[in-house]
This record gives sequence, C-alpha cells and structure tokens, in this order.
Amino acid sequence: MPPTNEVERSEHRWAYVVASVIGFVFIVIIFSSVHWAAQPPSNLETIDASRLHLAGEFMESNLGTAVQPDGSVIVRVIAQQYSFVPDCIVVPASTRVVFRATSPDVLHGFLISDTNVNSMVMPGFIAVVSTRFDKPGDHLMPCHEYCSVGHQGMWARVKVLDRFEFARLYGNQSRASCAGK
Amino acid sequence: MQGSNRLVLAHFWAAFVAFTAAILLGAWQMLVRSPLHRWVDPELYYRAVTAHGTTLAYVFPTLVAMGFGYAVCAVSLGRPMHGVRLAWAAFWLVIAGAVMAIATVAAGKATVLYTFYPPLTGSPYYYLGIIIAIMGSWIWVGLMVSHFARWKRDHTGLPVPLAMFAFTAGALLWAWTSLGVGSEILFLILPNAYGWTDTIDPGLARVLFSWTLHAIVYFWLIPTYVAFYVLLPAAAGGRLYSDRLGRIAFLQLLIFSMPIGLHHLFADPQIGAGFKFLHTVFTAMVAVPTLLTIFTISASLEIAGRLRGGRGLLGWIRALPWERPLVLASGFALLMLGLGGAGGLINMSYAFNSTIHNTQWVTGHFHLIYGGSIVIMYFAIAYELWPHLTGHKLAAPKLVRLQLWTWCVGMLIVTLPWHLVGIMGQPRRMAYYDYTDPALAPQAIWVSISALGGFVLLFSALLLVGILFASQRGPLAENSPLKFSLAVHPPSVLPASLNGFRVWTLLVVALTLANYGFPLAQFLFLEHTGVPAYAVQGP
Amino acid sequence: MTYNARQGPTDPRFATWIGATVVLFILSFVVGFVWLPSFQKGSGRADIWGIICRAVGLPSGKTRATESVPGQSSSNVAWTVSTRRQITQGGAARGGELAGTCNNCHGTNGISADAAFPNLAGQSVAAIYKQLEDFKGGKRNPEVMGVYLRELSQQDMLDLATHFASLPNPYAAAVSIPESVDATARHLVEVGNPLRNLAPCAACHGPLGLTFGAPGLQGQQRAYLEQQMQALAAGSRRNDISEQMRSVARQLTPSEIAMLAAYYSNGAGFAER
Repeated sequence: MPPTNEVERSEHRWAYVVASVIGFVFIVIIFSSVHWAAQPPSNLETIDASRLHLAGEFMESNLGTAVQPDGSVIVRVIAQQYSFVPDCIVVPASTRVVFRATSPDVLHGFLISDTNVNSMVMPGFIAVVSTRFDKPGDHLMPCHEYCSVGHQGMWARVKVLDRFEFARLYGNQSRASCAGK
Repeated sequence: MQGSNRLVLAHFWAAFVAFTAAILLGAWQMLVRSPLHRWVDPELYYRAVTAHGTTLAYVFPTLVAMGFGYAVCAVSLGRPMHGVRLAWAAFWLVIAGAVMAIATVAAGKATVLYTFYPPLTGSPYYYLGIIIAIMGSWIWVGLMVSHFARWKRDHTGLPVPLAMFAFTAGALLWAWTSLGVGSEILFLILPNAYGWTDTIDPGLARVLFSWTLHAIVYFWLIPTYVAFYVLLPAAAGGRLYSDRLGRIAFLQLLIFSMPIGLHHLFADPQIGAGFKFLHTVFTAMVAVPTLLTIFTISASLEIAGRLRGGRGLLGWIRALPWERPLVLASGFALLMLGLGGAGGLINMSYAFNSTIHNTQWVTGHFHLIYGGSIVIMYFAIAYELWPHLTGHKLAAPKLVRLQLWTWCVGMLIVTLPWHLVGIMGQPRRMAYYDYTDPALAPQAIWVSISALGGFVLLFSALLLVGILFASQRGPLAENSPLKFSLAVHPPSVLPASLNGFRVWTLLVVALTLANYGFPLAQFLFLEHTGVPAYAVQGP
Repeated sequence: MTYNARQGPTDPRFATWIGATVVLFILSFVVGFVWLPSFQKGSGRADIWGIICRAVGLPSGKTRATESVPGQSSSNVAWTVSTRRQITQGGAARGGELAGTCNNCHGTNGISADAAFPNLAGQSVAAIYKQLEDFKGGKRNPEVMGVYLRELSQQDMLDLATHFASLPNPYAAAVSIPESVDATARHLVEVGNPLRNLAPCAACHGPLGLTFGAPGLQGQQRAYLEQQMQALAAGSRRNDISEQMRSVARQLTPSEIAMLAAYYSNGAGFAER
C-alpha cells in the first residue's frame, strides 16, 4: 500500500538507505570470505584436557613446528597457566601454517601481533587456525583471555624465517622450536 | 507519579552510588596498568576489574531500567502504578544480591571478572548474589508486563502508549535473555561450586553466557532509546516524528537482540563457521532499529529546530535548545553512538573480527557505546525526572552542562586511544604491560592519555552525584507533571502487530531455537568437554 | 499503508515480517553453511556434506594430524578428576608410621638437617604425591629416591604425603639477605617479567594463586631450591607436566635463581594449604 503522508514517504526513503548500508556490509563480508577464504575457525575436535601430556598429539615431544609432506607446517601449542609451550615458535614464511592449540587447564587465547591470527584456546577442544606469514620477522604472541592472576605474564614469541633459512636451521628436526634459545 | 516517587528515586540513588564507586575503581585500574604507575599486585587489579564490571553490568543498569520503567508505568498510563510493595521487594532483592556479590569480590574470593568464564571458579556467594539480583529484576519484568496487560484489557482497541510499549519490550527481552546467564549459574557453576558435579564444561558455559551477553546491552539500551523517543522531542520543543516507526524499532530490538550472541564466540573452537555466519547476519539486522532510531530522532529534532527558527539544510541544528540537559546529552549520545556503532560493525564482521578479538579495541568499543552513549542518557533521564521525583528544582544548570560535557569529552579521551591500542595488538585484561619493550613502547603514550581521561570521567561522576544530592533540597519546582512527547501523527488505532507481543515473543523463542539450538544441544553428545574447575584463591 | 486496528492474527504484517525473517534465515543458512565454507581449502572432506558438517560444527571424527613423534611422557601423574579425588584419601596417621626411613634424611619434623634434602613439613599433598610417583616411575632421577619407593603402593604414597602435609609449618631461621637480592626476588615473585614469559611465581605457588600440584616454596631448603631450578633449566629434571617449570627456569639467569632460592628459604613458613 503506498504511503499516505509525508512522514511515511520519508520513512520509506530511509528504509532504502538502511537496506543499502546493511547490504553493503554483507557484500564486504561475503567478498572477503570468498576472495581471501577468510573465515573464523570452524573445526570441532575434542580431547581429554587432563591427560594431554600422557600420550597423543599434545605430548611434549610432539609440540612445536612439524613440516608436512606437502610442504605446509603444523604448529602444535599448549596454552597453560601461565605459558605457551613452546614459548618460542618458529615458522617458515610464504608457507601455509596451521596452528593446533589446546589447554590442560582453563580458557586461554592468543593473537600474533601484526597479523590476524587470533584464536581462543579451550580445554577439551583443539583450536585450529590456519594462516600464511608473507614476510620474515619477529612477532609477539600474548595470551588474550583472562586465565587468572598470571595472565599478564603469558607472552610467547613467533619467529618467522625465510623458507630456506628455516629449512637450513630446522630442516632436520621433526619438531622445531626456538624455545630455550 | 505520587506514591511511586520514592520507589523510583531509591532505584536511581542506589544505581548512582554503585556507579560512582565503580568509576573510582575504573580510574584506578586505568592508571595502574598505564606507564604512569608502577606495576601493582595483579590479584588486586583483577579484583577491582571484577567489582567494576559486576557493578556496571549487573547492578547499575538494572536499577536504572527498573526505576525508569516504574516511572513510565506511573506516567504514561494515566493512572497510578500498582504493585508498589512488590516493586520494593524487588528493589531490596537487587540490593541484597548486589551486596552479596560485591562483598565476596571485595574479600578476594571471586576474582573471576564479570564474565566469569569457567573453569575459573570463585566463591558460590558471588554467583548467588548475581542470581538474587536477577530474581529481583524478574519481579520488575512481571510488574511491567502486568501494567501493560491490564491497561490493554481496560482500554481494548486503543494504542498502548509508546513509552509503555517500548519498556515492556525491554522487560520481555531481559526476561528471555537473562535465562542464559541464569542457566549457566544455576545448572553449571553452582552445582560444581558445591561439589555436586566433578567437572564443568567451559564451552557450554560460554555459549550460555553469549546468549545473555549481547542482548543484555540492548536491555541497557532500551531506557536510553525510550528517552530519545518520549522525552527528547518535547525537551527540544518539538514532536516525535513517528510513533509507528518507534514501535517497529523496539520490536526489532526485541526480536533481533537475542539470537546473535555467537558473534562473541567467533574465535572459539566449539562453534562451526555456519552458525558464526548466521549470527553475523542477524547481528547486522539488529543495527536496523538503531538506524531507524537515528532517523526518527534526527527528524524529530529537525522539527524542533525549525519550530525555533532554524533555517537552511543544517541551520536547525544550531537552533536547538542545547542548554537543556536532555538535548545536550542526546547530542553527545548520538555522536558516541555513531562512533561506537561503527566499531561494532567491525566486531561483527565475521572474519574481520580476528583482527581485534580480545584486544583493547573491544574494551574501547563497549566503554564508548555503553559507558558513553547509553550512560550519558541515564544521567539525562535522571536530570529530567529529578524535579518531578523530589519536588525541587534541579540545582546548578551550568554544572549540569559541565557534567555532561566532561563525561562525553572524558569518554572520548578514554576510548579513542583505547581503540587504537587495540589495533596495535594490545591484549585485554592484563594487570600491567612492559612498555620498555620496543614492540610495546609505541602503545605507551596512548595508554597514558586514556588513563588521564579516566580521571576526567571520575570528576564527572562525582559532579553528577553532587548535583543530584544538592537537588534534593533547594527551591521548589513548579508542580507540573511529567509529560511524554507527542507524535506528529499520534496513532488513534494501531494494528495488532504494533500493539502487542504475543506473536513476537513466539518469534523470539523460535529464532533462539534456530540460532542456538544446535550449538547448545551438541554438548549433550560431545565427550571430554568437562574439565575440573580452577578455584581462584582468596587472600 | 493505513493502520486499521485489525485484532489478532489476521494482521497481515505478522505474516510479512515472519516470512521475511524466515527467508533471511534460509539465505544465511545457504551462504554460511554451504557457499562460504566451500572456499576453505585443505580442510578434509571436500564434498558438500563434509563442507556442511564442518560448518555446522560436527565433530570431525579422528584427529587428522595423527602422526606423533614418539617420546616419553613427562610424568605418569595426571590431575584427572579421579586422581584429584584420590589425593584426599590419604591417612596421615598411617603415613606417620611409614615415615620412619624418610625421617632419616628429611628430619623427624619434616625439616631436614641437610640442605640437599628438601623440607617436607606443611608441603601440599598433591605436590609430595606427584614427586613420589615420579621418582618411583623413573620420571625423576631414580638414583636418589628410587630405592626407598620401590616397595611402596599408591596408597602408601598418598598416606605419606598426607602425613608430611599435616606437619606444622616450620619457621625457618631468619637469614638476612641483602636489599638488592630481596628486591630482585620480590619483583619476580610478585609481578614476574611478562616479556620473558615469566608470570609471578606467586601466581602458581601462592599466595596470589594456586595451581593444583604446585609445591609451596616458602621455608624450603635454599640449596635444594637452587639445585632443582638449575636442573629444570638444563632439562636434566623433566618431570614437570608440559614443561610448566622448565619454560620458567630456562628464562631465569643463574643469579636470579640464586636470589629466588635465598628469598624463599628465608620465608617464615609454607603458605597455608
């Protein structure tokens, strides 16, 4: 039914403006998801938080950077009160990197500075985030979710090395890290 | 307002006293985690953050909504409030719950932050206090719905006054959304705290909390929007542009506030990207009523401005009576709403969220939009109601304007650098940062500026209570009753869709099932997701 | 649109709005559960059902990255629900009877006379129990303690742990330490050093916070503390679950370790459990 007065006419006009604004937001979101395959984490795997160190994927011998047959790397990290293990993560540049993280105790999270790597780490679940570092460099990796009174001390580092340098320094290690150095 | 004056006054006083104490803590927190102060005992810092957040999220806005809600019942319906005794009982429940929770926090036994994500667990008295306060607010919900229903029954076919319609929408919204945190506390946290369950499920707890977490800000927002629609046009000397569009906006707030909470969990592993996208879409929809409100309120202000002689495309803006507290506050609120809302669009944009998740951008955002645009209108509502509640004139109009100015300016000083520091990668919720490190040094200046802004806000808060206190005595006000704004075309009849809630509440429930059904139900068949609780220590 | 007051569900706007919401939901579903996730690469099943299942958040079955480097677990003790329950089921009296041999080195009151042997009085039950299990299981150097534990059952170890935990807090003789030592140690204990990934010691060892199984440090033997921190830093002691302590010890300098040992051994007693 057509608008019957000036008030309703201007409301209709505004409704089109609103629809355009919202539509524009959707277009940008969808475009980025399509063009850059950008999407929040979507991977549901559970794991027994209290037994991580006894056996399986998150035993300490299995943590760190693992080069896969297809050239990508998987970085396995534990977030606990109050450190990441390994607390110095080394990865090659220009390579697909998949972070797999979990916690034996409480909620944590991490971001990698100057990147858009950002994930919660939840006990009982494996958080998976994949990315690609374009350039070599050093980054900070703080915990960003309150995990009780030591939270502010929980900072790890990520070193991104040129692909060939990574292969030279860490190529012969099944699980690489720069922790303790 | 007669018999309910004391009731409404009590709510506002309790709210603002709690508020001022929380702002004091907030200013201290900003100082001690800035480069301007040596590092403090982290437990003390987190304790302060818990008290600050708990007060400002669960106590202060609830009391304001309750008080203003009762005022709307008493004024808009053309007859006195009923159930005043019940309302007082509700008030004391909220106070009792708040005191229990905050006392527990103050003793250091619940340093879990106001989001209290398990498996971090504090003393059960903290959670009990929150539940008791929420129960008080449910009595308020019952009273609001009862006022709405009785008036409709006694005036069949007539449009329910907009203020009552809007507040009832807000009450229903609160009732439904508080079930999330209520369930989390009653079924997950308290049983574990009392040893009836061995483990607690952090994923389920977060999903339940997210049910409440976004819609609660719309519960906080409703009093502000009611003030925009029913107090501001008259204060500016004009009329409300459209009563009908207002109702549509409040209905959309009711419907779209709730099924969107998963946008707080974009970075979580327990939810799939499909549901994250679904909530993104519906979050974009909840921007619609705000955009409609901006239109309607701007149009209403334009009417007022032109009535006062404003000419030209924008000349009516200058013609508005900016010396009136409500008009000044609304201008500030709209400014901060624009900035904060823009930030919110980034937060909800699916993959873009990963740039700022759990950085200080998020903290800056919600301080700007809640502490800024919503809370400044709470002040203005109080200033507007005070002469009618106390019978005395509002003291010191110049100080009132100073208080509003300092709140807006202070909030911008606090929050704008905060957003910037978040983009620079500073994580949230840390008691101190090592600014000597070259990677963090560039953040130092912005954090310092932000911290100084905190003291401007503290000054503003103290000024507020000072003004309100001084206004309890002094020259008597003229005995004119509070009136709500008239619309340009006041409705004489309304369609059922804009005059009632029965069908819409069904839609709310249906959307909740659709958007939250699987994310919650999945925990019935996932293994290993319960973990032992971590008990925070007391001193 | 004129607004006639049509009562009840005959108001056509209900149908319009609800219909629009449903359409929105369906569109979002298709875009969010099928179309956008289809652009994700390398994520397992590439067929439509796999894409939808991942987007819904259904468990993805076996963890895909299953090859693990073989290695030894740091400890056989895990703080599961059942282990935490067992910790509470030791008997102090029985433990006292078993403690005869222990007292030879660890002292009759749980305060040892030899700085190389740790004080056990007032220590946390969980901490003592875990170390006993780790010694017995070879996760901690069995040369020292192994022979004493060979014959002990799990219940024995729980009883012993409960006994020592119940002994009254010792008051260490006041040893004066230089102000500078005290200041450095206090700083690490109370606020830590964030960018070296050092949370304050008190966040796990009390009084700021308590991690389950973390030992109390106040009033411990100075030489023992220093020795153990150095072993953790070097990696020769490796029974800390998921490198919790090794990652800390590695970040500390030898002089910081010495200062911390001096600070903690100077304490008036263990933190209350």
